[in-house]
Amino acid sequence: MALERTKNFAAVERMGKEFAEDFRLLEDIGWSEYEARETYVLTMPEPELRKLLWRLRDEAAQVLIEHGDEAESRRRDAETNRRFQIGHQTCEKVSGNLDSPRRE
Amino acid sequence: MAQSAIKITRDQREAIYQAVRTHLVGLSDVFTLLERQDDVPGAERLARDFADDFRLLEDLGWHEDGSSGQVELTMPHPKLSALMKRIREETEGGFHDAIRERDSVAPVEGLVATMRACDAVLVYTDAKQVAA
Repeated sequence: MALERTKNFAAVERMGKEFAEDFRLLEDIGWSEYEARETYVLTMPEPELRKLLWRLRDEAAQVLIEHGDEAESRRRDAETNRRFQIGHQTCEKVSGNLDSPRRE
Repeated sequence: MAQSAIKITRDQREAIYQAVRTHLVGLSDVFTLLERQDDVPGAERLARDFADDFRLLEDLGWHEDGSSGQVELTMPHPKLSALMKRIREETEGGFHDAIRERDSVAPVEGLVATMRACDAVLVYTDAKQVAA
């Protein structure tokens, strides 16, 4: 862990908060990869949720860009890429809904 | 009803902080379990424990040096009580292991300090719960 390796406490604090947000979101969307529900209710406060979705979107985009540089890597990690692509698009869509003034 | 924050000393903070830090070493177990998908409830349970650790660190401070004075614990008392019991139990396990393996005095003293610090918080949280 970064804490033991570098003693970078600021980075560790940021990572800890991000993990806490991730875990909180998983409370809503379920922990299993094989969820059978059709719809999910996201119960996090809107500003927190928006921030989280933007972070996940940016992280997914970063992975997709990195992979885009290496065609061989992309072929090998096609499934991983597909997952990040879906994640990126979903975060974009959900955060777009949050930003919409017509949202109820 | 609003609850009052519990104040702990710098030494108590240090003792609890070290226990939390030791526990965080197992964080990667959450991701291992999630990747394997063979014990999702286990991953969920572990993650909740780590989320509690992160919340406690908001009060204790993330830096190992911490503040110079007292620290206020602001978590809801039932949650704080459960967390202190977990930390105490884990520390007690480590204490018995250290005794069995005849570990050096220093780690054992640290573990005792952690157990005492947890007890000090529990006296307050559990008394409040009984009174309520």
